[in-house]
Amino acid sequence: MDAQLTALIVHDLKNALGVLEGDLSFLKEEPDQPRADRAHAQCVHLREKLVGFLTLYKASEQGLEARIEAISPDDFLRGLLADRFTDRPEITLTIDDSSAMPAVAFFDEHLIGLALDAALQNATRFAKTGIVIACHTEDNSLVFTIHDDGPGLHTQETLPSTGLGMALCNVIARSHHNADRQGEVSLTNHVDGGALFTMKLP
Amino acid sequence: MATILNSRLARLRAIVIDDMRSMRENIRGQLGQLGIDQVDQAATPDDALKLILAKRYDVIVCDYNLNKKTNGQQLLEYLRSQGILPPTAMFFMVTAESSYGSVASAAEFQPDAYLVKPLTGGRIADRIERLLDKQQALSPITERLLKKDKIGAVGECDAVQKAHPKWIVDILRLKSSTLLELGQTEEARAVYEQTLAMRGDLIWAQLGLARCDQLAGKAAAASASVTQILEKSPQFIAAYDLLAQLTEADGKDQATLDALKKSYDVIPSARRSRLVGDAAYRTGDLLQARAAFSQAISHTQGSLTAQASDALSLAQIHVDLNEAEQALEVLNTAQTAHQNEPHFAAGHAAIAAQAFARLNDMRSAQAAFESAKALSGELRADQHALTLAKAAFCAGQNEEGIRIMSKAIKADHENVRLVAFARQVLTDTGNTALIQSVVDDAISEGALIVDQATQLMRDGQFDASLAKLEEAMDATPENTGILLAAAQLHLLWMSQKGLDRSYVTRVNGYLAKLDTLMPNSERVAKMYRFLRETLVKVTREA
Repeated sequence: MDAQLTALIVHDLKNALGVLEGDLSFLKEEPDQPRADRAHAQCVHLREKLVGFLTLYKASEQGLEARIEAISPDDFLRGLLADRFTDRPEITLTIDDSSAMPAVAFFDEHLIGLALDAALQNATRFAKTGIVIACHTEDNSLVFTIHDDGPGLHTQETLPSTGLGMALCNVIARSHHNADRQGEVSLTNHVDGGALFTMKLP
Repeated sequence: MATILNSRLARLRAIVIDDMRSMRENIRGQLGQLGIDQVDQAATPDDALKLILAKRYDVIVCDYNLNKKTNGQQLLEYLRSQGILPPTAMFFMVTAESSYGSVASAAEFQPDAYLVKPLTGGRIADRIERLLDKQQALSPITERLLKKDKIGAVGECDAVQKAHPKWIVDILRLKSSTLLELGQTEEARAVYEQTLAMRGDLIWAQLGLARCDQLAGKAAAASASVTQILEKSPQFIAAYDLLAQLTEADGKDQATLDALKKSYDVIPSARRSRLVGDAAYRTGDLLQARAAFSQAISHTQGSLTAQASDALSLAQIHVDLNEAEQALEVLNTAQTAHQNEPHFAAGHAAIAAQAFARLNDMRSAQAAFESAKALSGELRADQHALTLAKAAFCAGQNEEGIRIMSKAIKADHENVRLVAFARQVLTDTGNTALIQSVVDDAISEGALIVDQATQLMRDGQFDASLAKLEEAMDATPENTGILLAAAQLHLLWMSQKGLDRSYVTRVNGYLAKLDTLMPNSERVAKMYRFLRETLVKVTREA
């Protein structure tokens, strides 16, 4: 695993832990519901980051093997969003449940859940008002997309990023094989504005 | 976390199995937030087993790491292999992030879902909801299967698939395996191919194609497919089992043993040890068999999952290896744990008789044999009957040995394993000379009944033919050769004389019995096929 990335991530985790510690010490003195909610959300993100980091580590040490199951993408996405914690509740999250979504698809639900959580976390940082998550098939592949209405790529980030999320999405996509095809991810500007995350699984 | 209340969930009864109290309390709290208030807890596999045997749970949340002896997977294996879990129970295996892949890829018995720590109420609720949806969607098929109405179950599949396309893969899996059980190998093949067209790397469907070949009598093609599957997916346990069946049918006992040993390397469980032990015993590899059953015992020692048959097998192997004292020691140790189990006392006495004889204590040997005989009840075509015969020969009671063995063989004279074991018993006890007069004659007697019935049928005497077979079925109700002949008789008669509903019911009865007596049998599959073809023919002609 890339040493520079590791250092960046650990540094980031330490900072997040610091913020949580600050919130908790404040809460010890004076109970405050909004702050408690924020601390809880912070804790969940910290845990997600740690799981992401460990998954990346596992991928670099022993490789990741996707456990392919037949899953309804609609059920999967609904479950993913229902269980999602956000520190920006003002951002609306919508599933585009147009007819393009297949009834059943084949992927590792746990791993793809980790990847999409990370991608949603990124999108949440930049979105202005909303994020749309969708799933369709294209050229015999299953495609998940996450479209935010933020400023798009190549803009000056006001919040620093470690690149953990995209690195995680990459290894998880690549752990999905079918015959001689492999999964892939991309992050581009959407024609209608905002960033478009795409994960294509064979 | 917002409280999710759902009336469907509130009715469920759950048990949480985890050795850490804090984890149990945590999960119990999460379930409580979902409205599931009836939550029991167990800290050990044995406590869990006691509760599961006593009550009926809808949801079982079990941690993979339980204690040094038994993990969650082994508990699940025991529950499923002993048929303890009702079909609607949902078993969730909780694993750590780091071990999820390795736990899930090498599991013989799959839980309904794996949940990766940390658990959240939302995720548990999502999984339960989805499983309940699936149960409900598939119920037209599964309810028919519960009633053993396989043809009806297959008939429901298309409608259910149309109404619930998201469960297509589960439906195709049920449909294909039921078609296989019905001997409709070509129809099953089409369903497996349909599945593989959706996703080519579904190993269960690839293995299904190999099963179609096996049941269609194309053993070489089946073997080639299985070998190919194992090259790519050496973790897929069911493939080793099919390979073991194929090699055993081909008389290649060593290859059977090798296949099962490899499966043990993938999943070193008590159940796998037992399979290796049995196969090793059949090939005469007593040292391997001794090691395997010792392993099975040490895997389950002190646990409710311990099985009396393991101790009996090990004791028998010690006797055969001329380790009579060890045999008696194993029997003594097992006595405390298994004395209340049915059949244990009879098996115990039959093996003790042999051990005493090895120690030249003929008085004790005879006493033990008499007690084994008294405890054995009605003799069936099984290993115990032959063990009892062996005890008789060892105790110097050859007449009794011959009587018991002959009865056991006549009870199922076409049972290849049984007959091979009978020959082995006679060889082991120095009675090779008796093989012709005891084993071969008993087989001929059974075969003669079938021949006579067939001849009567050819002469157009259906009633006389049936009477002949029914008499044999009364005397030996589990004789697979007779049951197959009876099914064939009715089908041949109908194909000449036309449909008779009561005959169809009878044939279905014979086949249901044969399903239990000889699972995965090519001969039974053929008879199912014959039934279907006959029904098509007579309906068309009517």
